[in-house]
Parts: sequence; C-alpha cells; structure tokens
Amino acid sequence: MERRILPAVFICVMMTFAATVPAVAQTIDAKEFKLDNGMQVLMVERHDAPTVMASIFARVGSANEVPGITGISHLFEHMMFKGTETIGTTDIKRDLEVMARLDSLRVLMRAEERTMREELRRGQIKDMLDPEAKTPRYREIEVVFDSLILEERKLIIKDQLDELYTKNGGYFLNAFTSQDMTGYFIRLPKNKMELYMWLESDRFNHPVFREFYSERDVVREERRLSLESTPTGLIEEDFSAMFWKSSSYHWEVLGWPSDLGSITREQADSYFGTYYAPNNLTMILVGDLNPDELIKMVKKYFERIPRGKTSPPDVVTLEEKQYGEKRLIAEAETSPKAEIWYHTVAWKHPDSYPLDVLSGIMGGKTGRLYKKLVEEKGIAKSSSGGGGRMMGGGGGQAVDAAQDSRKYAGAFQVSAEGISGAKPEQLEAGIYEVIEDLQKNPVPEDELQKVKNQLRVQSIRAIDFMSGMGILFFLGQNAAMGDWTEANNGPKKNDLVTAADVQRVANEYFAKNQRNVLLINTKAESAAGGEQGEDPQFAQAVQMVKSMKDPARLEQMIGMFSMQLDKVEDPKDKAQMEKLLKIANEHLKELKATKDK
Amino acid sequence: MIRQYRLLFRRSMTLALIAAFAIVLTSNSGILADKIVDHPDKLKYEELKYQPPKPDGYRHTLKCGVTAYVVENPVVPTFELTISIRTGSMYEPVEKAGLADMTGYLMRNGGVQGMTTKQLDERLAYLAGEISVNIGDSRGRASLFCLSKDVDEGLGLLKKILHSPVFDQEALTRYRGDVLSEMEQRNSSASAIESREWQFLMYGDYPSTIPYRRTEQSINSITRDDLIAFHQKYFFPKNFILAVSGDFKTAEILTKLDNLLSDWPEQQLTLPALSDQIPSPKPGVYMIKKEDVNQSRIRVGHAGVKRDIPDQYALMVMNDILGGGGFNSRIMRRVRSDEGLAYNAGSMFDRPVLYPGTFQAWFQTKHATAAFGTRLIVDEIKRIRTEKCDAEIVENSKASFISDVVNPFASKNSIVNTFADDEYTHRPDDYWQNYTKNMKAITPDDVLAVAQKYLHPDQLVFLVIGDPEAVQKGSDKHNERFSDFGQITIIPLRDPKTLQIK
Repeated sequence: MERRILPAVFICVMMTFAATVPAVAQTIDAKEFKLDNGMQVLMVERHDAPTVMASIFARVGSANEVPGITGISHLFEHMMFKGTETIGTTDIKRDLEVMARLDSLRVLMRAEERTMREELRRGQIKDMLDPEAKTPRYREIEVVFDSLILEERKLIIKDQLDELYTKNGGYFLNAFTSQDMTGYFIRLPKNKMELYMWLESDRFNHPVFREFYSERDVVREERRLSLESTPTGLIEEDFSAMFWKSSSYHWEVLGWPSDLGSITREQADSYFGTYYAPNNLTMILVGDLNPDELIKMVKKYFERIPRGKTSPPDVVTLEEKQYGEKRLIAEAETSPKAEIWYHTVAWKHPDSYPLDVLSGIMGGKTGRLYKKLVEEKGIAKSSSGGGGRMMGGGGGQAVDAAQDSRKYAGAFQVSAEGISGAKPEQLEAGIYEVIEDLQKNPVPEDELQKVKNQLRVQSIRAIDFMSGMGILFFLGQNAAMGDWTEANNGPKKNDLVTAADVQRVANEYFAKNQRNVLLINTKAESAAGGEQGEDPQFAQAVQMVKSMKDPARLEQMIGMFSMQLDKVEDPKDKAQMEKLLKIANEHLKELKATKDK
Repeated sequence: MIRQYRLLFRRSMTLALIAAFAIVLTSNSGILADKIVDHPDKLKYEELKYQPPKPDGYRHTLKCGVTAYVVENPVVPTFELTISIRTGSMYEPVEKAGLADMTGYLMRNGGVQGMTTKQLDERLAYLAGEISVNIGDSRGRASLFCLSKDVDEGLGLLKKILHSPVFDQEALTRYRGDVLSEMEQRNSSASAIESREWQFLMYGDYPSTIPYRRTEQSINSITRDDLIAFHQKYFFPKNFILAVSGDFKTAEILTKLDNLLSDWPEQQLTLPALSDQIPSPKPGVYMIKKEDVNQSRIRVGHAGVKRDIPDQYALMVMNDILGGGGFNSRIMRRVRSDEGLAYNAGSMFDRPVLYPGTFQAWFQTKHATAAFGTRLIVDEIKRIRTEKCDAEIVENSKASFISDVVNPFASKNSIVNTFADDEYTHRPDDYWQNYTKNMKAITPDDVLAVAQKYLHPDQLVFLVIGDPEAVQKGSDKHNERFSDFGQITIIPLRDPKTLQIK
C-alpha cells in the first residue's frame, strides 16, 4: 500500500515543484539519443546509489482531446497498468474472446443509450444513470454484460506489473496525466534495466485494455472523490472552463462525465495508435548507468515498435481573445476565496520569464500579497489548512500567485483565501491594490534579487530532490513540452529579467477587460447573515458561537452578552450584538435539542 | 480494433511456430543470446554487489565532544545541516502537555536576540534559505538549508535561534490561540480519534501517550518561563548530533561547526528510562461512538516489540506477507481485492526504539461489513501462524527488502542523516553492512516461527470507531458479529478540550 500511496502524494509535490519552478540554474548534463522509430531517449549519469530512475513521457494530455472523448488521456494512464498479451492474464485466448463479446454488447448498449439520451432531452427521463430510466432492452443486455465482466475477472491476474516490478526491487511505480503530457515512472536497481525494457516495450507495444468498461467506473469514482466531493472542486472546474473559452484546456484532465461513460474501445485504440507511437515518446533514464551501453538495450527492445502511421495532429484551436471581464460568483462550505486569472503566454514565450519573476514578487510569505492581505488588512489566512483538490493538499499558501505556462497557452493566477467573515470582494480589492502598485512603480532591486535567489534555489533543490527523481521530472516536463534544453536555458533568461520587464508585463497582461474573477462566499455564513460580513471580527464571533458545543457555557455567555448590551452606545455595534445574541440563542436551542435526542 | 487483437493473437500462434523453428535453426549461430525472452521471469541479471557505506568514513568529533556526520557534495552549491536533539514531548510533564511542541515552534517564530521574527523571515527569504525547529514525540530536530556561499550567515542565524531565543509573549499568546482552536476540531477526524484511542487503550498512562494528552488546561498553563526552562534543559551541544552535507571542504566546515557550538554552558542530562512493560488492556472489543460517519475504522492488535530485537528480519518478512506488502499482501488481497470491502487494509508491527510497540491490522469499511472484514483479518492472522508460507512468497518479500537497502543512502544528504539517526537510536555500526546477509538468511521456517512467537490471536484487542448500533447490527449477508470476538465495551467520545469521557 505505502509503496503506491506515498509516491502518489510525492508526485503531486514533484509536479508542483516542476510547475512552479520554471527554470534550472544548474546545468543538467543529459545525453540525447534518437531511435530509428523516432523515439527520443535522454540519459543522465548520477552515481550516488546503484539505482536508475526510469520514465516514459508521452507528449499527450487532455489538451489533445476533442469533445466526445474528453478524459481519455487519463483513462489511458489507468489502462496502461492492465497488462499485455503476456502480462495480466491466465488465458489470453479466452480473455480476448470475452473482450470481443463485451465490445459487441457495448455496441447494442450504445444504441439504447442513444434512445435514453433522446428521452432525457425530451424530458421523459431525468437521469441516464438511474436504473429506472434504462430501457428494457438495455437492462436485458446488461445482465449478460455483467456476467461476462465476472468471467473476465476470473481470467485476470491482478496487478501483475506491480508484482513483477516489486519483487525485483522496483520502487515508486506510478504514473500521472496532465493537460499537456502523460508520464510513467519507476525506480529500479541498476541490474534490473532489462526487466524495465522488457515490461515497458511490451506495454507500449501490445497493451491489452482489460477491464476497459469497469475502469471507466473507477475513473468516475476518482472524479467523484477529487472533484465532486470537495467543497470547491466543481466550482473550480466551472471557473477554469469559463476562463478557457476555445482552447482544449476548457475541460479538466478527468474529462466530462458524459464523455467518460461513452468512450469506445475503437476510440481508445485509435488514440493509442496516434499518441503512444514511439515517435511521440521520450524515455528518460537517470542514475547509475552508462549511456552508450544502455542505449543498445533500449534499441533492442524499443526498436521493435514501429513508428506511428501518422504523426500526431497539432492542436489547432487557439485560445480566442476575451472581450470583457468575466465573473463567477459561487457559494461553498469553505473559507471565503477570491481567484483572479489573466490570459498570458505559453511555455518558452519571452514574457513567460518576467511573469514568473512577477509571480515570485507577489506570492510567498514575504511577498506583496501576503503583506497586503495578511499583515496590512488582516483579511486573508496566513496558511491554508484545508486540503485542496490535489491529494495531500493543505498546509499550502493561502495567498499565492503563479504563471502557468502551458504548452499551448498560459494563465497568470492569483488566489487568496480569507479568514472567516472576510468578504471575497475585499480580497479581490486588495489583490488589485497590489497589482496597481506593480503597474505604477518598478520593483526595488533587492526585492527583485530576492525572487531571483529563490527561483534559483528552488530549482537547485528540485533537481537535487530524491537523487534523480527531480532531474527526471524537469527533463520530462520540458521534453514533453517540446524541448528538453529549456531545462538548462530557462534559468539564464530568468536571471536577465529587469524591474522594467516586470512592470511592463504587469501593465500588458493585467487589464480589467482581460480578467476572470472567481469569488466564493462561505455557504453557512451567508445563511447566518452575510450582510454583516464586512466586519471580520463579527463573523469570527459568529463562528466562535456556532462552534460551541457545551450548552451550559453558551448560556453563560449569552447572559454576559445581554448584560453588556445595555452599555453599548454605537447603534451599529448594538445591532451587531443583537444579531449575535439571536444567533447564539438559536444555536443554544439546537444544542439542547440534540442533547435531548 | 478488437478484430486486430484477435488477429494479433492468431498471428502470434503462427509466429510462435515460426519462432520455434527459428530457434532450432539458429540456436548454434549465437543469435539466441540476443533474442528477447517470452516472459520477464526468464530474464537473467548480473548480480548486484551493493555494499552500503560505513559510518566511520563520515563521523567526526567536534571540539565540544559532539558527533557530526559530514559529507562533501560539490555537485550542488548548497549547504544542509540537521541537528537531532535528545528531547521530545514524551519528556514533558503531562500537566503541561504541549510544552515541547510550543518550545520548538516559538524558538523559530518567537524572535531572537537582536531580531524580530519578521526580520528573520525577510533575511532568510532574501538568502532563499530555510531554518526550522520541531520537537516531536521522542526527538527534536533543527535544520538549516542555504546556498553554500551564505553558510556563515545561515549558521549565525541558526545559532541565535538555538542559543538565544527570546520567546516573545505576544507570539506565545497567538500560537496558544492557534493550538486551542485546532483542538476544537479534535473529534472531527475519525482517523485522529482512532490513533489517539489506540494509544490510550494500549499504553494507559505510559509516557508515550503524553503527546496525545494536550488539553485546554495544559495548553493554558504553559508560560513563557516554562518555555525558557524547557529550552535550557535540552538545547545544549552535548545533547546534539549533527548531519551536514553540501559544497564545502570538510576541514573548513568542522571549524564553522565548532564555532556554532562554542560559548555554551556545560550541561548534563539524563533522560528517564522507560519500562519494558506496557499496560495493555483486557482483550475484547472497544467501540468508540462516532455516529456522524458512514464508515467504521477498525484496528485489531496487541502489545508488540521494540525495534532492535534479533528476530526483526523474519518479523519484517512475516508482516510483509501478512499485511505490510501492499497489493500483494494477504490482508489486502482478502479484504480489498477479493471482497471489495475497503480501499485501505493492512498490518504492521510498530516498533519504537525506546519502548515496546504494538502489532496492528486495520481497515475501513461501511458499518455493516465491519465484523465480516474483521473476521477475514483474524483468519489471516491465524493462518500465517499455522501454515508455512511458500518459499517463493518469502523469497519475493526478501528480495524487495534487500533492494530497499539503497534507500537510506540514495543521496549524499541521506547518507549522513541515516548515520546520525542510527547514532541517535543507538543502532550498531555494522547494521547496514549485515542487513542483506541477515535478510537473505530468513527461511519459511523462520517466518512461521516468528508468526507463532509474536502474533497472539487470543490476546487481540479490537478498536472500532463508528456507530456502535449499526456496527453491531452487521449485515444480512454475513453471520459475523463483534460479540464473536470478545466482550464489547462502548466508550463515548472524549471532550475535545478536556479529553474527559462525557
């Protein structure tokens, strides 16, 4: 268990590192090879331990999808652990037969689903997933389908890839999918490289997508867990979809639920043929290795795989210009939040470097946002307690800024989480104050230097992280974006950024009609009398009263409040006190009621 | 595309025949050696002779008598220092539970002589450096990270923090408020309740439970003078062990470390010894009432052993097979893969260095299937005591442990930290040298023997966090009930601020 879960959290840390650290001050001495079938291979020698970190990055992510198959890249990442013709089955012949029958049944079921979709549009049914809503024919087929799934399950050797690696000293076996790329990785003892070549070339050559239909349910559960059951997951998905109007960043990596249920095996096969062809892959090996020796082994195993019949198509839809400010106002059971996103530039654009530096000026514990919102105004939290959408979230920065330079477009994202009672509009106004100052005045030299120092050290630390793992992610990210040498060149460009550059990009990109604003109000709060929200102290008092569990103590407090009430002269204060008393009395009633139960 | 699969399959039949011929035809020509085998289990590997580094090569004694493990790492222009401090919240008085944690936090965040916390933060941010001080259950840790060019300034700041923190009263009040407001949420997480109640159940009032015994009263009773006294008692060089890595020359860095630890009064400290007996409870079922959750958390176990027992290797393998080895372990297979009862299930021997740990197996499931899942786990515990494991399973487990031996030495920095940890926990110097040999020697008989020696199905304690009514009702599909496992005691939730049972 720990073997799989720890790495999962770790990937998130690593991805965050790699995403926020644009550049590397250290030079990575990578050796590059190209196989006959177009596959790129990068190797870096690190002789600290007798291990090799190995990975394969596919230059495909959710940005390569089109409506109808959104989420397929991520589904694929799961399918790649299901085995091959050799791995993962006790009887490949029977296995393939069962899969074929399942597929033909799915064709019939899809026809019924089409009817159901039509019924949904006409208002004859309310929810396609409701068992009652299914057509009689669908239910008939489903019985046979489910019995075949059970039969398939008997033929499967679960997690055989995991087992083969683990017993040979494999560590960190895992994978991830983002908008721009998909990566698979593991660490192995250096004498087990042939096992790696065998298993990986096998699964990148002839994967068998077992449990294709039930895995879609697993992914749907994953969506439920990571997006739908978090307080702000769906709102953030909504916001991101609002921000990205035409680009394929419009949908999340997890895809739209209706697409996820409809993806066919034919679609999956064609997707694999296009995007997992060797000419779209980069293998990265970091560790105790000899590149010129090891490349022979890579060739022996991977040159078996033919080049893809067609090259992967380019992503042609550009993010179209925005013509006015966009705002999304929402409510959730969370602290008040404000997020402001501006359209900026893609990876490797010359302005991405000053934007990176600018994000450093604004974010962090000694940054402009923290000073304005936490120290000066006292309306934002100093650190984020709640788990974010990412696994293991929490403990992060509650006020932050980042330039997200993706492969096809970019965004500058500013976010602030308020203390309870703060209004999201207050956070928003505070953020604008910070931005306006940066637009009007050049950043002082030592502040600029501080950020450059931090960027430099962050990148050094990330590279040195976990001996090899850090380098692997850096190279992988840049290689998958299109140019691994950017890992070495980016930092030099960061160091050249001037205060004038920073001021220029702040003026160029942070225009009012270009911004997207997300404001999240606290749900419980708004019910309790949100109008008073402009006074954080009052809201804190409300929060405190509501968190009290002991009726006796609450009663005592109400008594004290009532006595104080007569002494208060300011009518505004008095009104607030009365309101608080009312809330306290209501809460007391609730407490007593639950106690009597 | 499924057509293609079937096609591929048919073709591979033909191919197999052709391949068979090819082998016969070419087996004398040497091509066979370069052929790709048809299953990865047939691959042959060069033997990997890995000998972990020895501590002697890194160990230095500073002028003040303190041990420092030092390694040069010219690849990156950085400096990293970790100091282990013999202290811990286990040693704080229970009526001031929370004192150790607060001392650590406020050493770093309560100002130092001549500098406010804000000034310190700003300076560190400019240097892109980091300093932290944390005091855990049985150890304190202070660390510094900076660029190697800034090492003098970094060490200077660290010295101020370690030597002369001022414990600003305002910062103390603020942190106390944070701790108390967090305390209100004490019962919101079922997993936190589970860990806490397991400690109380297994250890009674043993000192290891002190970190779990913070109350509103104990936090409020901590004064600035307490922090000063705690700091004075534990933070002196003789009580430190250092681990240092970075881009420097060893001789130069040793001088700098001597300076870091100079001008400190001579002091002595004897930590109280701990009893080898832990007051485990009467075997039986203990249910903690947490009704607002739709899932029960179950932990099953009994008193265990310390880390350094001679049987540790066989015990590791045994537990790996039972429930420690993730997807391939028995408990995970039965509870998750076969029955689909839980996402997470497993077992461990928690083996502290200083006092006996516990054996525990766990899973989380809906209330109705809690008893059924528990039965599966108990059966696995019994089975590993009666049936000898297959040699192949034992070999696989050993192989993964043996290959993990590189982990503590995966980077320069982890080498010195491993040795500093080993010294802190009094591990013998040759531990890692003999690790592979000791692991290799384990046989299925050894695994069976430790299962019989260290697993005690008759002494099991069952801790259930959930809705007792729903849990006891069980499910129509299964006959198992918790009363099968022993007498049931139902315990209400503790008050989050006093820890009193209401």
